[in-house]
Amino acid sequence: MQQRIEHEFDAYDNEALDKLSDGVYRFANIIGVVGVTLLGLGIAAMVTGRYLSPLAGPAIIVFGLVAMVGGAMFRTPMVGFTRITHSSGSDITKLMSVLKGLDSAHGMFRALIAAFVLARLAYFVYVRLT
Amino acid sequence: MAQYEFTAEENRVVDQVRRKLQHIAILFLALGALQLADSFPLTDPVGRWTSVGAAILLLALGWLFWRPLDNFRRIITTEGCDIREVITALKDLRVAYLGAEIILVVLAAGIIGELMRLTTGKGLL
Repeated sequence: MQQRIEHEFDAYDNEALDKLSDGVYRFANIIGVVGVTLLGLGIAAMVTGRYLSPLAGPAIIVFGLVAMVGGAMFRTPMVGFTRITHSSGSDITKLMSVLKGLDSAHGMFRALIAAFVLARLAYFVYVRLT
Repeated sequence: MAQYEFTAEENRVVDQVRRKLQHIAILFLALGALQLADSFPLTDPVGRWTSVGAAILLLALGWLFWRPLDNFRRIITTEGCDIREVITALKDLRVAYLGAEIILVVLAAGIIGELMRLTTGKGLL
């Protein structure tokens, strides 16, 4: 059986992957920061009780935790991109592994954005009905 | 050197990434459209233009996440340029992350402002 020869990324491709790795690193950190601030807001909402709904605080805390987990999930592909550029051989196998990690992280990010869209939609409808 | 062609299994992974990115792009576009629809009834000009600015930012982000989709689709549907397409898609993805970073920084600042309003009764401004 003929063995499949894997492609090796050249310097130009590696530079693009390195830049993406840096971008993912910053993005992961900022999602983490948003998660922490949401967590703080949720706790403040529960302690002060200044929001009308008592569920607002716990809901914000859940958003915060989802964001923090999402931020952590983006760190796996970031490490994977670095591994592609700093080693030789099996680049496509490594790229596929990175894309799978990125896919999982995007799933979490999608859940977070969907929650924001639902919250925004609920507010939009509420304002127009009252 | 012959161009590397992704296998069916590798194409499936690429397609999964493409689908999730498409959903993210649609959600950002929906968020931007809602923000834009909420901007017009505002009577305060500063509030209205701030809201329109936020809507444009969100719509732009939806567009940025939409950009790599075409390259990811071409990896699956065409033959011969898979590596070039994947690198172009990943470059576009980096720009989308950069746009998302800006939005998330603004969001974090807004959350901190709201946190201050809740705890002290005063916002950032």
